[in-house]
Amino acid sequence: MSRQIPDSQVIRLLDLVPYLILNQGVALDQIARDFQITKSDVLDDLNTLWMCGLPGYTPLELIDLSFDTGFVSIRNAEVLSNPRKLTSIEMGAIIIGLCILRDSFSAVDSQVQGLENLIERLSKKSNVKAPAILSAVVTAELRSAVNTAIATKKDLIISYHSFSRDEVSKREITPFTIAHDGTFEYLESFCQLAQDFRSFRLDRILSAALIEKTESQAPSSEPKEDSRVDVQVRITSNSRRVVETFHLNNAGEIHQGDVFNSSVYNPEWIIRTICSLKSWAEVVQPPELRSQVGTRAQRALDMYV
Amino acid sequence: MRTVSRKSERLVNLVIALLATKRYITKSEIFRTIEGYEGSNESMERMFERDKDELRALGIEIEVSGLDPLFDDEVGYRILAENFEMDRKGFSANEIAYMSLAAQLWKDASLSDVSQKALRKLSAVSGPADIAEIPAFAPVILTAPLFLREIINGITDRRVVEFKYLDSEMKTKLRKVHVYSYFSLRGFWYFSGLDVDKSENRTFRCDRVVGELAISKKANSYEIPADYEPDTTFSDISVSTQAVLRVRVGRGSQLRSLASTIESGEEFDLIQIAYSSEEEMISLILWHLDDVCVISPETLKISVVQVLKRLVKAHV
Repeated sequence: MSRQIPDSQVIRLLDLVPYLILNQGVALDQIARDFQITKSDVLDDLNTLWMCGLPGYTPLELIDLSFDTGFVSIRNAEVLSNPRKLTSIEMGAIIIGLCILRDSFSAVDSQVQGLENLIERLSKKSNVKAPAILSAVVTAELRSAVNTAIATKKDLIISYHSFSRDEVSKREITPFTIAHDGTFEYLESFCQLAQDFRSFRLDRILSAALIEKTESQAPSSEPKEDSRVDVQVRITSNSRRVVETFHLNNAGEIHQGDVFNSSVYNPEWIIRTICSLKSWAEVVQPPELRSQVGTRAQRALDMYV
Repeated sequence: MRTVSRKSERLVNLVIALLATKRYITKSEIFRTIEGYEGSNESMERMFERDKDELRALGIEIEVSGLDPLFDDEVGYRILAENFEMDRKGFSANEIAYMSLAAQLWKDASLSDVSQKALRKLSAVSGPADIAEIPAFAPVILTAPLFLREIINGITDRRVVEFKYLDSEMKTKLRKVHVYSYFSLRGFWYFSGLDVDKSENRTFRCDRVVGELAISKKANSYEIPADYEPDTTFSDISVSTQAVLRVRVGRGSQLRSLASTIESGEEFDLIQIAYSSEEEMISLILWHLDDVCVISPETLKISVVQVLKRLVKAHV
């Protein structure tokens, strides 16, 4: 997820000088890598810089460059020898990074105060605001394990802290998706222990490890692939929640009455999801699933008679 | 290519001259001495105006003197080193090292290119440092939107941002916002500030912005209230209602975890739960289908029954 905005050549030339002073004898290839430009751009830059200097522009005033050996050295560029000050976006990236570093130390750590102090000073000086809050409730390890499991359709062993029962249980789960209710993130899964669908609050999963399925087992005909169900869902009411639940990317173009296709891991998930979306969406295909939603809703309705 | 380079050459020469001078230098001095200004006086004037604008757009501050109306001295220009160069004296070696580490966190995330440039500058002023080990991976950064740079620029220069936003009814509307603050919470990035057309403070979730986010050319177009605090709770916690639900034994772990009391029964337990958003409560109850039954309040019960009836009707 990175975007490259080409620098103007002027900015690059101004940044190239202090870089060359610091890295006397640097190879052309290395410059190309460090500035993320082609080698011919580097040569063009050096040829331009070669013509720059103080008014007068005699050899005494021009920047003195040598790069014919493939390695660059620079002299007579004192005026530009210091790096330019950080732009507000560069400062923003650093301030956000510092906030993350600060949060990664425990509160008692003496480093925290130092970083806090640094963030405040940088922010004041540059006018760039620090983020009001930066919270990553879930550890990097956990998120990576969960994402990998969903992407590669692997199971996880988790230890889960159930608040209501106040106990930690070990469970083998098949995760489908991460849902978000505006307050917490949930891992929608099939739980082997409960033999049922469960959503686990992501922040209450204490640890998660991928279970490596042994390939030596009898060759199955891609059971995971087969268990996916292609469904057609009609949007019956314009609701952002439908779009976000099904991760529809063309959000701006979808409207009430439209039908979209989705591939879901398990029918149980779609039945519950459609019901929890109130009546903003309905299953169109397949017919079995459609009637199942009706039957299950009817059964729930029977609770009230 | 060579014409582009010629212009870059002139601009770099202009920067060097303005930076090296101890006093303000006038336009005529610039035209006389700086390589690249040629042609009629008029065309050199135009060239210089454009160059000046371009350098300013690149973030290079050019000081102007001689605006005193009592003296008809020619206007002079210079670039102050303290506005141009990085301040290396203000920071300890450890602080520079932490700033470099902070920039490195953006590897592969939305601000990785700008961080790369920051790192290059920092490497020129860094010295030996002694800092603690830190985790090299920050998940919060991975979800940062591509337009985070526009948000930061908007706040810093107080430029109005404009974008299409998906509302809860799935309509996209053009919003114009004075951004005051930005933050990341539970995996999502947000920005908040004044919605110009609504004249109210609002919070926007970055992934609900449809397409690009544009930022106005004009800077300093608003003030950020000194006492501004973003609303990060998203709900009115002061208004809460108690619901009583029957939940099948062994089911409804999510509801149970929210319950204030649980009274055990044979087939069903009776749980009490406080909620502030009826919308969310209904969804949560419906997710559990026939494992949950609303006892009270009556309004919640009626809503759930209505939705279930609609669901049945829609799926016959």
